[in-house]
Amino acid sequence: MQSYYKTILLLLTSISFAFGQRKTVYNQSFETDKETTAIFNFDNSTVGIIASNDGKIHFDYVIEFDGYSKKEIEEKISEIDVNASKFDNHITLVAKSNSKIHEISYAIDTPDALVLDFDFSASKSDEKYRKSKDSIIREIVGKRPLGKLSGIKYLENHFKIKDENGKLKKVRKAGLKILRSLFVIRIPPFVKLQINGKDSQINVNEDFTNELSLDIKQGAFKAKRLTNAYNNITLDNAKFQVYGILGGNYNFNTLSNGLVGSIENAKITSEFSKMEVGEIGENVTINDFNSEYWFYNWQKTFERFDLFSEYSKIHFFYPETYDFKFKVIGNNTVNHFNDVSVNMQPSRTGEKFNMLERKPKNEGHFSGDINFDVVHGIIYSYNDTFEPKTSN
Amino acid sequence: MQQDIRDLLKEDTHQGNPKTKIESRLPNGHRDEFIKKLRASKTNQYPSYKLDWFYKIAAVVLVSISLAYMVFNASENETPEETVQNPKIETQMMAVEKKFLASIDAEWERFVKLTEDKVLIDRYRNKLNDLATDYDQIATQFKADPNDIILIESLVENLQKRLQLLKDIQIHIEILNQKINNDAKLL
Repeated sequence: MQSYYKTILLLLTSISFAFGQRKTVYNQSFETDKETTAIFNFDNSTVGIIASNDGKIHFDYVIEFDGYSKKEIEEKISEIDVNASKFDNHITLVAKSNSKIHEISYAIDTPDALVLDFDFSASKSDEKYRKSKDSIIREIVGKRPLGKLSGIKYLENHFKIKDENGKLKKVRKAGLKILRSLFVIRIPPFVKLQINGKDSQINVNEDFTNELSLDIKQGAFKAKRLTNAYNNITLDNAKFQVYGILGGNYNFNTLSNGLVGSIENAKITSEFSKMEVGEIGENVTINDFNSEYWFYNWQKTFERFDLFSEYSKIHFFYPETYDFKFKVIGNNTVNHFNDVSVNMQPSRTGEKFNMLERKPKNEGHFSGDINFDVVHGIIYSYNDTFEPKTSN
Repeated sequence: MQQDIRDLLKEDTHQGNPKTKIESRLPNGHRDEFIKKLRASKTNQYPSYKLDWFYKIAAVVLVSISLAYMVFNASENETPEETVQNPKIETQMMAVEKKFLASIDAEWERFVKLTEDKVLIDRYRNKLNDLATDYDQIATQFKADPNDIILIESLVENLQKRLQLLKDIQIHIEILNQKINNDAKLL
């Protein structure tokens, strides 16, 4: 009987080796010091960034292939161009690919047999309950790329396969090709870093204190805590998910699925975006045009929060525990408080005026001032301090 | 001479003889000789362990192939059968695109009729043009690599985003206009 199990084990091991192949695309390391600067240019790439503890920058790029032939693997590898160089204490990395390299990609040998089969009209439900900072972070953690099994499930939900008789069948694993990109960059915390990305996904997998200048056009940026007053982050038509922001300037254009666990000492300029903020801390300013924001919670002392907006939709959850001041100036704005619509008188001349004010009660701890300057805006005020609603 | 076997057995039982009458008639050592011959005849055949291994390996291969077939085809068997005529995936995507673009155009027409804010219209026009440029770039990639399934979702997301932007701003303007109408009634 023992020999029977050994035979099965041998068989299964052989099968697993036959299905998966691991190829090194690039491998390079550079010495750095506190004066070193680095610029990374990504095109059609996916990369993970973590801290280096040995004072060097390391580039390790590996791709795992499942179901690809040797020839297809060679073709895929040849499409990828990675090169790093160091000149005058400045390190430059260029990583690009002809086709988009996702963290996990799925391809099917016979794409012509595929039938699109998913609900194009599906949209995000209108969530109207207070979320905690931790629940936002859990949401970010939960939005991982699809694994092998969930990938099959995803395909089953989006596509069908047509067989030779014209019958629709579920997508099967047989014939499905999976590519997993493992591009890891380790960088010392003192290196000043600039990242330019196009159609790329950047994942900062640890708390990051480097001075970071980031510019991403299409793609996604995901990070733990970003701490640096000189950070300058720009995203255009991209996804943005960060556990925490401490300092820096952020420019968001057409951001989708924006999730921020907490923010403090930062300035945001945004347009056409959607952003949920778990907790607002000290000295945050937002300038916005036609975005939708959710402000869920406030730190014990947030000192001052300023919002300047036009055509914006604001979901505002009051500070729950401590005293605060709230003032709204602007023009032509609707404030929905719970289920009641409060009409703030419009100014015929278009001039801004004081529309709403909640003065501090001068009892207990004073958290800070909340100032809204809103034109053509809609504010949804949720005071669930007295009427608790479902929360995560 | 014919005899009834029942009489023979009765006779032996009465005599209390442990051996039967038939056995007592066999020559001495007959049983041992029979067993030796039987063993010898077995050794003349091919070895039993080789046969065991052959059957075991065949069984394992057969079970593995059956399992693999069941796993890979399980989902196939579960699906209801439905006969369709479907074109290439690019053609299907073009049909989706055509449908979306028609909706986007219709929403655009409604939007420009709904507002008098020229700055807002210009900003939306620019934004939609930017997204259309992005779409063209993704579509070029998709044409080059139609095997990449995730690109299909990127294309659909882009179209959904444009349509949703136009729908959202119209709802926004309608809410503001309701407020103005209510204020006018109050005045």
